Amino acid sequence: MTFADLESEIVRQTRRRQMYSGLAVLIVAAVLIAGFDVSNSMNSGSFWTGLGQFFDYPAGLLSEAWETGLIGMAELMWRFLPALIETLNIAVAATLLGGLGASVLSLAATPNLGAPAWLRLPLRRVLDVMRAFPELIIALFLIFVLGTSPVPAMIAVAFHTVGALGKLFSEVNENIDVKPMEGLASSGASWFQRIRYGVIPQVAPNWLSYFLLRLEINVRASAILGFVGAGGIGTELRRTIGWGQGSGDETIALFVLLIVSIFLIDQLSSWGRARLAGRQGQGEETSAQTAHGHENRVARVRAMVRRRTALTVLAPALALGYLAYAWVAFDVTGLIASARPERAAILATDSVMYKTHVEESLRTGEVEVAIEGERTATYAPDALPDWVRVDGETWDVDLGDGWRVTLDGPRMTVEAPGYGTIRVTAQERELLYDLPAGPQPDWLRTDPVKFDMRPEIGKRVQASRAKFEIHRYHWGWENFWFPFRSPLWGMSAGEVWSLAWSPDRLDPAMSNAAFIFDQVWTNPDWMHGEVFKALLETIMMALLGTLVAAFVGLPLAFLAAANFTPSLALRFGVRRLFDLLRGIDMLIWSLIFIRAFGLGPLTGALAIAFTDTGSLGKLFSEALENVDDKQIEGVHSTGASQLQRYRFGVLPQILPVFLSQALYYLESNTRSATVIGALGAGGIGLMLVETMRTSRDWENTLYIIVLTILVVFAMDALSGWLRRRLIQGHEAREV
Amino acid sequence: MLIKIESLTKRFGTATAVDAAEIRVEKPAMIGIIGRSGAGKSTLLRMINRLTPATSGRILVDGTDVLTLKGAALRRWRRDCAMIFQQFNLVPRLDVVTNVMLGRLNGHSALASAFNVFSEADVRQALAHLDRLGIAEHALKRAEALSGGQQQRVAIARALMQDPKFVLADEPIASLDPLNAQVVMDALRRIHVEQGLSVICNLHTLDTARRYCDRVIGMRAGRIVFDGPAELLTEAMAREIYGAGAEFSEATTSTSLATPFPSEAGRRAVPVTG
Repeated sequence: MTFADLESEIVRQTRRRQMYSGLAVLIVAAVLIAGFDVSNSMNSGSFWTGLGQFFDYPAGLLSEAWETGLIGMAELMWRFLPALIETLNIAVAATLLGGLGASVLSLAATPNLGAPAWLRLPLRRVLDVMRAFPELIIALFLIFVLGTSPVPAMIAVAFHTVGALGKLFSEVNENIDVKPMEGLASSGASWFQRIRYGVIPQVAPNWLSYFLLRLEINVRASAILGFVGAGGIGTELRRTIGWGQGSGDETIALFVLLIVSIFLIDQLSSWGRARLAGRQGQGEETSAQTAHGHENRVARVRAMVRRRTALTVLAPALALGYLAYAWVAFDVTGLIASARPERAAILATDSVMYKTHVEESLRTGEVEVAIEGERTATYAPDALPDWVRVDGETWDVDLGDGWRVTLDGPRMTVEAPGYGTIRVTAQERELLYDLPAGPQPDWLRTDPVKFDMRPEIGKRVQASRAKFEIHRYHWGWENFWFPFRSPLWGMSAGEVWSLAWSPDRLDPAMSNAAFIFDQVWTNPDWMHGEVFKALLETIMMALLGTLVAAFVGLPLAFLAAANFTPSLALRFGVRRLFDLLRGIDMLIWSLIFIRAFGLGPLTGALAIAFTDTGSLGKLFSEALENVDDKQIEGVHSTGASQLQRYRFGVLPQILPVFLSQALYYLESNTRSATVIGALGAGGIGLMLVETMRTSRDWENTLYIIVLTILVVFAMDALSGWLRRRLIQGHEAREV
Repeated sequence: MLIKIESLTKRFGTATAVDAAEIRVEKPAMIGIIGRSGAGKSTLLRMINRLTPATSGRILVDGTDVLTLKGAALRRWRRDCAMIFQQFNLVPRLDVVTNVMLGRLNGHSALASAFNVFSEADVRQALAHLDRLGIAEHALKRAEALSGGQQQRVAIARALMQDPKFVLADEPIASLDPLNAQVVMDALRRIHVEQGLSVICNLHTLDTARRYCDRVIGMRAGRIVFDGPAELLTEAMAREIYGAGAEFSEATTSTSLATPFPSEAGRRAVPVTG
């Protein structure tokens, strides 16, 4: 390459880089403005009116608290202490269990530790899925099966913790020195012993540090899940907030308890992590300097060995004891006894099957065939499904596999293969039976007033003195594309496709393609349009919240960094602001913003933005304090202005941290947005909670769950991909 | 203990690292294996300890082919042939005495290992070994806080803790300065003399082998090209082993205290005449 070529290449690259930077700035600005505009219009209350009311709610709460007085507030807090302890127990038990699972799985999932590939590779995927799976869904599902209790929240948080910690732990494992393991192998140590002495001592400090960090996060997660019915302080908060005026003092008492405990746990955890980090550097803290006698030395070493044995026995014993306490505190025994696993079975079948009712009213003698027994999905008498036949007054229903039911006025006949013919006659006072000889099978119930048989999950026949009812189950989601009443109902995909291109309009007002789309979009059973709007809202919350947090957090971070802001007072102020934003926590922010701005993505976005301005600001300021001064000095020495020094001396250094952290938060905020939504901010989370609460059609719930998981996974993948692209890109070519 | 290695071979893909090696050890001896980097010395030693699986051949020890051992018997065999590594392979964050006691893991149950249980006898023996190697005063320091030479002595103490039948040392002095190299080689020699154990030691310098070993095995490109008493190792033979031309001189492979070069530099340096 000649010098001229090189020169033109460099010029070209510089231009391209400028264009990219400009483009990036434009895109971010466009997303921010459009996002704000869209969220604002989607929100039930507007931003500008909400802003005026922002302080109304906290002020109302505070004035009620003021009236209660200091002693009254202290009493309230004392009263709520058990709820707080329950939330803390959920967090600690979940972190312990999750940490345990993560340790085992991460050891088996790391390539250099000797686990076979067939185990390792699937395990990595399992960890990814566990990490990305929204906690809310697990918690709601378990609450449905187990009933209201702290255990569902504990399991949900523990599940996510296994995934999140497992990933971090395996990164630690990958970076260890494997030579000690080889040394132990050469002396005849077993695989377990090699891991125990060759790996654990190396990874323990980092593992513990991540464990403590996770504990901080889990306290918050447990409080939030309480709000959807998992017990603890969140449940209390929902109650006091639900009561509205008059319980403001209680709400404030709960807020204070939560903020103080989160603050304390954060402090404790960062103190612990700082100690761990400090210890790594040292190495000579214990040394036997002076030449003692041999016996003396033996005694000292024995004491050390005994102390260490005691410690290694004590730590798991304490953890085990704590879990036993949690077992009792959460009343797991009672919970197992009162659990309703059949609800899980119902949920499982109902979410992948639908049933068609054939119902005869014995008062009128009329027979109706309807999907899910719904009036809007009743078959016309001349268009019955092919497994129902009418012959005068006689209805012949084929349940498949040779099972057949005949309805003839007050008489019902069931052909049961392998058993015989069952005859049921409804009379004024009771049901009369004519059963085949031999023992009665256990799927059959014949009371004088109630007949019920369910030989298989897909067939059910019931009778009372008022009606006969036959359910035939079919696999799949009924009316998923088109509603029953739609002219498109029952068409095959090919028919729909050719119809879309046909010039003969079904609806003169719009083209066929538009009509088809409209029929799907407004399907009243599945509400595809509503669901997608809710998904969009959730994504908006995460995206907008994270963007605002990142771009507000960055400039503030300069004010909190010692090497950029000499003023101690200013630095102190900004740092406490970060602590406050983080410490108040997403849960409380959401509750305040829901009051001020109503339902909608704007509310969720603001809650995320407020909390994460604190978290990201803190992270960025730490990154800023670690920048290399020499680079800045170099730029300074060329006569650059302050702004230029920041742009070329500082920004290239912190950009990788900025991008990776912002993207990492985006990914975790997509999960948070579903939870905040469930608290009442709207979006897919709220929709999920509502369909679960009505629990009428589980296939709708499953549909929403599947979409939510897909969105969370997609955001996870997108953020991971972007992170790799951008950061590697920046390593290859400087900014 | 009779060790009979028969046509032991290791192939990595198409490359042959060790080609049909035949070695017999009938009485305790200090054996030095010499050769250039990549001659197959390490692979040979690692195959004996079974850290690297052999492609074919047999290693008969008192009549048993150790290449067929599995599970507990394999771990027992590894304990019998203690190994010392170029990079010491200690657990850096554990203290010295625990590192030494780890040599006893083979006799310990999983439960005892899980909870850091070591007996008084273990402690006494570990300290006795450290004392004999002159590093007992460091017993409670972390292994990573020690110098290279000290760490290698800890590794030797761990090897002795295994109560081995013989000792394999894979380039034990390649990462050490000449003074520490001498201390470590002296210690290995003493193990052979005092405890009557066979010590098989990979060295890539000729003079160390001459000085410490009774018997020298020379390897070149995976083949054993010399096997005999150190005195019989002529300069012509050494040229053959190191694959050098007429300009070869023993000084180029020296690590003795007299030469100004540290071991690594010395090996790569241009020949010094004289």
